[in-house]
Amino acid sequence: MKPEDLEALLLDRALGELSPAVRELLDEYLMGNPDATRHADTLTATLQLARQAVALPPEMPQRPLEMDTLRRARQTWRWRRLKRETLRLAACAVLGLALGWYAHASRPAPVLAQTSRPEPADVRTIPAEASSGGAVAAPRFWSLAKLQAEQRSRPASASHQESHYQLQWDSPMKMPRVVEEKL
Amino acid sequence: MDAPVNQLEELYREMGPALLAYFRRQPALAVAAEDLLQDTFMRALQRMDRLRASVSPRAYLYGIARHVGLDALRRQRPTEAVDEQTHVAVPDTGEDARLEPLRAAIAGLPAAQRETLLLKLQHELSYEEIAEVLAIPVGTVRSRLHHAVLRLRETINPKLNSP
Repeated sequence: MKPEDLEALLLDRALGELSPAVRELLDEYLMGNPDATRHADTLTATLQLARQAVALPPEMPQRPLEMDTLRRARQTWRWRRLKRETLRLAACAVLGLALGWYAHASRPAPVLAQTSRPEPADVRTIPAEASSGGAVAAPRFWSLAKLQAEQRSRPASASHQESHYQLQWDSPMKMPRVVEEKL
Repeated sequence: MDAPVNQLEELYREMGPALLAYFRRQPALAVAAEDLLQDTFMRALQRMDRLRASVSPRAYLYGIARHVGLDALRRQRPTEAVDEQTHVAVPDTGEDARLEPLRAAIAGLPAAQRETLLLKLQHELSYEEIAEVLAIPVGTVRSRLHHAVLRLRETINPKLNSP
């Protein structure tokens, strides 16, 4: 055992802070170590003297515990505590209401949902050129430039002037369509 | 009728003398010891829930008494305050000659060590109880006590060495 560990144990022993099991083990160790026993004895003697040096006989209090004062004080504290808790609750309620009102007031006006349905798109299909009789049927190839040129060649009506056209091509296997959306 | 007050009255009967002695042993507080004792129990009543929850009601009451004493010392004017609390001469003609130097040695200990030592020697509090009274770790209590006891041992037996 290290000397510092032994000394700490001896001090705990002298101060009465060792558990019975540890104390028993230490006592067994001390029986085989006269030097350590001597050291333990000096510590015990020192503490006995120190107890004598600071000892004063305990004396009974002259006054009994002031029960009435304590009871009155207790009532006062209860009342104060109740008042404090009530005030806290009221403060919380006021704060909650104020925050709720503020949140309600500062919320932006709701945007009305657009209920009117958009007018159905005017879907037109590209006329098949092959339907023209006589000549060899033109190939059914198409191009954007061709479609635009065809669109331009159509007579402009009053309603068409305010229309917006959109090319709609759903699948490469199908012909594209020009969709007219009236503004 | 009022259970906490009755419980406190029981504690007063049990602990009153020891706590009164605790105040009486501090010269600066000795005169007002009875009032301080009443204050201690008044404060304890205010915190009955903590008293019930404490590891040791005894240690908890000593802790309150300590704070009541410190507050009283703060309220006193500086000229009235007596700094050291221990060196109380006991008029006893047949006492051991080593006691007086030992009292001087205790009075000369650092305040923290002295306070811890007195709680141990005068009031027989355990390490855990002292730790609760002083609101410090148990290891610190142990260390303070070990240093204090070794110093006192050197006072009595200057030539002794550690094992």
